[in-house]
Amino acid sequence: MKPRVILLLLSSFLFGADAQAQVNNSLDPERLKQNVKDFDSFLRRFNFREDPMGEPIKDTAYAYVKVAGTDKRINRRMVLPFLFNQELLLSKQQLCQQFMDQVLKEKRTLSFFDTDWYVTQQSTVSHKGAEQKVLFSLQIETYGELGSKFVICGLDAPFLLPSSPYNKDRLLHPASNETSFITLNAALEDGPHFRQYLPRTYEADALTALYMEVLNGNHIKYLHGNDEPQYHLLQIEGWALIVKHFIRSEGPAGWLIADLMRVTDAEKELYVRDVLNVRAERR
Amino acid sequence: MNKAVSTLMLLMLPALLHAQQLNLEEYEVKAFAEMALEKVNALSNNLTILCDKTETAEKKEATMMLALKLFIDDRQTVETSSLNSDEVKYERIGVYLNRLRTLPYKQVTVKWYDVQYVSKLKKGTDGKYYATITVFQEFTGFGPEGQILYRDHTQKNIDIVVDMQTTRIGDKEFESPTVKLGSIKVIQTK
Repeated sequence: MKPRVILLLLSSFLFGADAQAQVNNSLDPERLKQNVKDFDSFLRRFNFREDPMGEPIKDTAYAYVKVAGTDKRINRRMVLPFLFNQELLLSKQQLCQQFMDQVLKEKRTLSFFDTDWYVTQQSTVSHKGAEQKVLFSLQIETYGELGSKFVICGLDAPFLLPSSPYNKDRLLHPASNETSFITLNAALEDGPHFRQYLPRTYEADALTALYMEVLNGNHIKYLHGNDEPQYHLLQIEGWALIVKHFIRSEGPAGWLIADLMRVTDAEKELYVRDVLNVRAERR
Repeated sequence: MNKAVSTLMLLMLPALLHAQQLNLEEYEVKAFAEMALEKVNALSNNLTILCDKTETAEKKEATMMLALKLFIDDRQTVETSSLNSDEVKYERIGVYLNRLRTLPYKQVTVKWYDVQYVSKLKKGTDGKYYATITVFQEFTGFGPEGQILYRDHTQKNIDIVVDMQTTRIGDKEFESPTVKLGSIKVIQTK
């Protein structure tokens, strides 16, 4: 059965037409219970540890949800479609179904402490008095029983990497070796042209640039996040998922799968490097 | 849940605080949520006093101190929104509390929906446990004649942290967990 059809059937099966009609306000208490309220809740629902009403599930194979005073039996196959944004489910029906089939077949679960997932936060900072947009990529780093913390692992901040057009007159000339590279003196004082003294393949790293800015006490200040973070889940073999927050008064809402891609391991490497701007080796 | 159960939970928490993520039983989650909500309720009582034009400056000053003590420290950020504007404001908690005194309402009420949600507690590398409480608030501002000037309903996420607090009684020191509030984020305003 197609995911869209499953979703429609399930909505009426689980919540009933009357219940659906009542929950037309995104701040309605009943509707709030159904929302995937945070990322933990998303993980629990994905792992079938929480039902679509937000109640914990004790048994891994099935659970009962109370609808209009009657217990209705549900299993993981029935509730997984509720974790997809409806537009995605409509536009990539087959792909979503293949993904769900694999997850169910492999009994795949997700953990907050998995290594291969990232979260990006679009933010505004102030740099030398001017507002600038920055995309932070963060990852959870665990230290056994000591606990865990988020670390900044990637950054997109073009203002920290000023462009430096090619200039043929800025160089360590090809005989510099004979004078013990005394011309390094000029190179290190050449401020905005310093890029000309580096290999043509050299790519400056925004995270290192930020590190140096902060270390040198230069004027960079975090102002605020521009929207909700986005989660990039790469830990399921062959797949990349993007989870985003959706506020709406009808249908599944809260933290949902906004995009789904079938990817090879090499493509994941590229995704981490080019989309998440992570230069360190993928864990 | 009564206060005795909450207190009992407080006493039990030191034994629980060793795992990276606390997988609490349902009743334990409820007890913890109760503790966090007590702090949130205390905050809303303080907000009401700070906004009340009939209260004295001294009482407001004392209330502000009490409100600040509910938070981890004064570096916490409060995000605020309004139905009158798309703009979201970000202020340090001290600045926010101070600004409340100047709101153009004679009185305000802050009510909470009977729906709250507390995420799992996760252990930070600093040894403290962190979670988020999701609350749904109704804010009403009244004019001089008691008429409603402004009302909104907001979904908010509030950082909470469980830290150990040392209490000295005589020559003995006792450690007990304490719940503090962190930054406050607006999810939606209607």
